[in-house]
Amino acid sequence: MRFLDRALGALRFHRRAYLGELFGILVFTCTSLFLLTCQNNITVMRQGFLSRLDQFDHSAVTQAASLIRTVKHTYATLAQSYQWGWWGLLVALAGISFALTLWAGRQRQGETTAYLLVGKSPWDIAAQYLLESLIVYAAGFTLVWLSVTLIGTSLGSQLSQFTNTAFTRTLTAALSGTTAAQDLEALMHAHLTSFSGPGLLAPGAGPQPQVPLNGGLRTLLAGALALLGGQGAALCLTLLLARRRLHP
Amino acid sequence: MPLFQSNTTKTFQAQVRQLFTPADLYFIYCANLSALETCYRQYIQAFMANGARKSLGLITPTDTGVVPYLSVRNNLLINGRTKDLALIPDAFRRDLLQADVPATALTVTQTLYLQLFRGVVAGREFLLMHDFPARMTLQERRDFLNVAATSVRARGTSLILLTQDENLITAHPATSWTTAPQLSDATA
Repeated sequence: MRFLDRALGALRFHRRAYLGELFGILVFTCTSLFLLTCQNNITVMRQGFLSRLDQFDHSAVTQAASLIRTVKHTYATLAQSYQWGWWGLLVALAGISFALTLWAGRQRQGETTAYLLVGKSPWDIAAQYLLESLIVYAAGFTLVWLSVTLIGTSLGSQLSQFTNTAFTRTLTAALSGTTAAQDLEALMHAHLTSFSGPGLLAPGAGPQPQVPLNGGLRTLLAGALALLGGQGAALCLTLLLARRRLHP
Repeated sequence: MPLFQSNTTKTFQAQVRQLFTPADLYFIYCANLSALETCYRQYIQAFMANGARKSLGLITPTDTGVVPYLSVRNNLLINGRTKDLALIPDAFRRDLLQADVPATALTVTQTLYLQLFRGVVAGREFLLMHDFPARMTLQERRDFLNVAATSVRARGTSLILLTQDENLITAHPATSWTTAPQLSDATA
């Protein structure tokens, strides 16, 4: 009986549970792509802002130091929030995978015992269960990625707009109105060359890339690692207990 | 270490072989269910402790080792070996293997046959069987033992049946024990 046939048979048999996992993976992939795209947009905007600063003379930049510091800090804060959000998402994926695999271990106790009884090694059993999950993960990721590539052309610009709005909102909250207006006016009087595009502080996320969302590969690899890590740890525990129960 | 483990396994298997040779049906009497369970567990542990788990197949009505989402055929070949399927009687092959019946559809008696043939087809040297389930009739038990005897003799496998049925012991005095022989630990 081939390894892959067993995994495919199990996928069909536990299809309801795996449909649930597929839904979870769709949510994870979309959220991860959203966070990584926003983070990338912030980086591009920050880069644009810095290159525009180069178009002012040194004294003007020094005069508006407080404003510039606040803008840079806002960029850094937002980028960090997206980064932490992404790491949090990965930890959540690993934690939920761990918990659900422990629960599924109880549901699959009979099956696990069956494999142990016919002499399959715990590694072999764990590898089969992980492969099943990986197949579902790959399917979920592919589904999201194809959707993004095929019908998500407007998604990129919407996310750029979203990032811009989020930045403006955060910056407005951080700036004191009068000082900011004065600093901005001082800067605008001192610019050496004109720059194209709206906004000095939030220059936009740049030209649209071919694929409207960023972080596809990072999402794929990090998600797979988090999923396998969480499930692998739970499977080690489950199989150890199953083996002990069978042959104490 | 691997060499040492290999020698341990070989010594243990030689000891077990001395007890259960030639390939046939062997009967061990257990006075009650508790004694039978203990003996069943001790024998499995002895094989495991001596690295000989792969030479042992199990037949039990409770922990059947049947994977529910695999067909009977795939359950039979779960160990990845496609050795001689001719050892399996025509009736079993026609009804269950060719029709590719799902394993969940098997009765308890059919499950025992599946475990028997799985062990035989996988080339397990010893099959350890936990007594017949109470619901099996005398005729069904007799049929099972006849089929098992033919299959294990043809393959060179020894089937060790732990039983509370004294009649089986008296009917097979040459291959029966009234007290379970100890499987000594070769590592000791």
